[in-house]
Amino acid sequence: MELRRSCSKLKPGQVAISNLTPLNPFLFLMILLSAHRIFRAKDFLLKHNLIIALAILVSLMIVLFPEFLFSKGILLSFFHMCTILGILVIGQSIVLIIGGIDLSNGSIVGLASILGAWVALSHGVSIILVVTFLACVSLGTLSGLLITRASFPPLIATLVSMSIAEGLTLTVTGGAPLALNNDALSWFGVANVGGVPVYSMIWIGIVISLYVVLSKTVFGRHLYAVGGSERTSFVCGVDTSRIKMMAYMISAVLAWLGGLIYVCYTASGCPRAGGFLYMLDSISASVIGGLSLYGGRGNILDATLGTMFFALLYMMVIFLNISPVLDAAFRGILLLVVVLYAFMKEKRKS
Amino acid sequence: MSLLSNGKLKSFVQEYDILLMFAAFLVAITAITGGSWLSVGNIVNVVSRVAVLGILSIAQCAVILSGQMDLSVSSCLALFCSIYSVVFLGGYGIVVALTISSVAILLIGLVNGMFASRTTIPAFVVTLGTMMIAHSMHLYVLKVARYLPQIQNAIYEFMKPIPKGGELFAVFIWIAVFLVVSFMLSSTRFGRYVYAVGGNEKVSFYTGVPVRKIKFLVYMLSSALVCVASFVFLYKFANIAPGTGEWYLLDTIAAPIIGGVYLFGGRGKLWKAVMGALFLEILINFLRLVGVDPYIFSAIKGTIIAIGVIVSILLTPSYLRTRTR
Amino acid sequence: MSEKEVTRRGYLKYAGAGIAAIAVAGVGYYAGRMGPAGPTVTTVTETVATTEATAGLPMTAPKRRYKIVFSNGEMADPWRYVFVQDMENWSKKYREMGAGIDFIWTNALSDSAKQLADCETLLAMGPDALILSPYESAPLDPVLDKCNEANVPLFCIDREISRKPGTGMYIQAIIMDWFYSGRARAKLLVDLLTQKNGEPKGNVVEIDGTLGSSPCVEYSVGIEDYLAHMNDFKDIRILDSRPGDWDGAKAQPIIEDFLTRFPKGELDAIFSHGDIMSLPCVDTAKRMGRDELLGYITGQDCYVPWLEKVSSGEGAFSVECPPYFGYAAFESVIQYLNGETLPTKKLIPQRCYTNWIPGQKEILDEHIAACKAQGLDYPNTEMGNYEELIVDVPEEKPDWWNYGDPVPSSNLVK
Repeated sequence: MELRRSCSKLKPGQVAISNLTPLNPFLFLMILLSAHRIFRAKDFLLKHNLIIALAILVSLMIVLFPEFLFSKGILLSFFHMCTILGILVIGQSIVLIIGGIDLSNGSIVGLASILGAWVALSHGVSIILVVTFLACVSLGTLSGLLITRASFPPLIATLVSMSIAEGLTLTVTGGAPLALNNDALSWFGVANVGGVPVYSMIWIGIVISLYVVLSKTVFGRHLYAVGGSERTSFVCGVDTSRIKMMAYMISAVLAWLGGLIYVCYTASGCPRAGGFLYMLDSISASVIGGLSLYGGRGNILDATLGTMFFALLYMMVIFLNISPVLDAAFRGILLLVVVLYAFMKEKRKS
Repeated sequence: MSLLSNGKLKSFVQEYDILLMFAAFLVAITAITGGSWLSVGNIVNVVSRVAVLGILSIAQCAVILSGQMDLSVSSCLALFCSIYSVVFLGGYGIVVALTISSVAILLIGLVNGMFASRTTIPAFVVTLGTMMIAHSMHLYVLKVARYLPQIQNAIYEFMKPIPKGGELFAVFIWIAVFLVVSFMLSSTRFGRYVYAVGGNEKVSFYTGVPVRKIKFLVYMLSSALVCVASFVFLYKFANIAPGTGEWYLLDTIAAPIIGGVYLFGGRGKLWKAVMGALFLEILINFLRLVGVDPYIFSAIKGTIIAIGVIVSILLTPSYLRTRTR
Repeated sequence: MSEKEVTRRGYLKYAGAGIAAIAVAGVGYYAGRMGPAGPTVTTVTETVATTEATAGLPMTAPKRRYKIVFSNGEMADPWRYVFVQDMENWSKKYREMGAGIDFIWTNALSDSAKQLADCETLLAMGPDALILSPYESAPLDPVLDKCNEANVPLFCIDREISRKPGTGMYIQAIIMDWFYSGRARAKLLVDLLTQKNGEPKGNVVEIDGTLGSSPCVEYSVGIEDYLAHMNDFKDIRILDSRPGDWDGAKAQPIIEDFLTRFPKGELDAIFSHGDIMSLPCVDTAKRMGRDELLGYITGQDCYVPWLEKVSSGEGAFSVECPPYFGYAAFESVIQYLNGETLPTKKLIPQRCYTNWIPGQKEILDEHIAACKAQGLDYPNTEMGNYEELIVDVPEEKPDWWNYGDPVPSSNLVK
């Protein structure tokens, strides 16, 4: 494993990195988020450890590769990796908070992507939003209905949605991607403000607004109530069916957004987008961010920190030139270490 | 009318519903394919093909009965095959290769078991982690897709006297595994404890069931069965590729569910998982024989499996569908 | 048991679990170090090194220490392994030449967005050149924009992006022409059936690779072009076509069901698009008593065990799909960075091994022997004999098809 020194040997006249940014906005976001969590920290100690781990990782990156602080390219790639995963993680965290799980969000990304491209090519760009939205929301509604009306375990209900989504995705073009030569979409994929891509701003906006919804509104409190104990909240008058349904629908809508961003990013529709891998990553990142699979605890900002940690780790693997084949092993080990650590912390507390 | 109003018919239907539906399904496809499905050759092919999925479903069923889940089975199968391939091609012979691979998979089972029994971390997360590690090691160890017919040839030689013996060997192993595990689950103290732990963990803890040990042993059993399944896979298909085994994961979960094993554990018979696995393979076989367009093949298969899962769960009484805390 | 003891025992168990995990990793790693001919990971590749270097393939020495980065699309298919390994091996060799090179690569796990992000990261490392093996062509067009912005030359290998090389910083595309490959296969199939039935007619079942992937789409277009547009072979009917995903374990049930559905007399040949899938076809045909199909099973990739079957008469032919891009890629990159101008496209020639065209069987046996002696799994460029083994069909995309059109199902009988 060679540690790559950061000296970028630029030929005179050859500019490898264009547009240096004064301070990496990604770093800025991370610091802001961490500060907010530290000062508002109440219960879950893992948060602090995550922040410490993040701090260690970031310092390592800066020491080994100072380009990380200033390079716009690295910044953009961080945002690219974080945005779609981050949106999925938000949806997954909401579902995890009520004690369920969503296995279908990865497949919905693929469905939204290929369906959107297909509709754009055959009927025009304007109705993409409507058609794909309807398709994705109906899948979310299906999961919700199975869970609330037919008392399905969430694992099975979302598994069912996942297989339907996958089947539909492969039917649209037989698995082949569709190229879109649309200027508006391409602009959207490339446009950025001071290094922060426009679609990442959508992600940040969703994080902030949903955090506010979850922590300040009645709906948010009901979510945590249902997650904490469904029976008790039902007895107290919370409409548990509606809350659960909303959670799964929100997750499906966020996955739909992820799919649309995928279309803009790659200027085409890819049926193999998302899928199993994104779904597993969304669960891992949420768990790393402190969400519990039993429900009732955790919040979106922590999950976002988890996503950033995930992305940083992936970046480190690339920079350190460790064989990409071992990438999945790192994720698995990371997941196990994190949950074990969280468990041990809890045990020591009690 | 008296028969219908009698509770016995209703309980018979509830217990054996899946069997009745399966029988109806078989009749339907025989009619549609005009009997070509029923030829001896085809049935032998399908049943021996199901053996791998069948053994994996038995493993998954055992784990589900204890209230947990094992997502790492498919990756462990792949890892077993790739370790076997490199050790075998390193010149160490079949037996040594199989032994080393089994040791590796049993170690993974050990890790699963330790996490599941010593911590309250949900089984889903633990086996997710081990699945990713096993998958990665499989890719790292496997360099080139391999075709290794040595075991296949050896077994076909060995089974020569019996007509179609080579294919049926898979079925024999599968039946043997089924009998052993079924006996374990129904007639031994271990089996009773497994059902107890799956049914209600707290109560069984207070009544003296060694919950931790059972949870651990169940994962070890699952790994051992994965080793047997991998052996059958190597003998039946003799082919190892980077994507090996990925398609088994969802099928091993769908098979017990379609069969009617309760997902939260504690209820269900092993033969139901076997039935679920048979249903899945026969369905795919039927779709191919009928000549369904390859582009909508996955959509149709996914939809039918989804319907099967929905129907199967709708048939279970609703008080059993949730686990209240 | 006191609480302290419980906790200590608990930690011991965790330690035990951790050690077990490390042991598994260790077993895997140790097992991985055992290659087909000895206890080193790079055995196969080192023998390639000695043969190719001593055989005198001219290697251009880099004038400065270049930083070359490579973004790989996926490793889900067995061919990709040799592909990526070949790139790594050649990078090691070039590290010793002249000023040497730095080589960093990433794998995008079959995800185009991830590959775009990988390219961003790699470009941010300040490389001298970017080599790209796109997972899908159209989604990766934005990489060219990024390379233009960063002023880094782009080379595409194995598959192309949609835009044409020669625009902006897109210097060269080093690819295999899948359209040619499809047409060659179709032509050889026609010859095979003509041999069997006296005229170009017959019933065929097809086993594809992964549906929707670029090679699959492109060779299907090539096959359709040859069978239906360039000529009109109405009597060659593809009765059914299923994806085997280049995995023998998936292909075996498919072929069993085909043989059940089309009993003796209804089937003339099996048109398989992957050697690793064709190998189980032979054994299955024997087991199910369909010996009349032996010798009429095709393949792709030229995997040595399959070439042996072609040689022994059980297989019909195999079209090459060489995973050895390392030499071509590094040569182009280093030559360009040293200051030379290059043509915009470099096509890797593809050989087709058959066992009936006169003169080819001897070459086939020679190559098989050479591969076994060197421990290779696919015949490499060194072995030559390109003139004799190339099929005469046109290259490049046909005019009647564009990316985004539905994939033709070539004479597929519904």
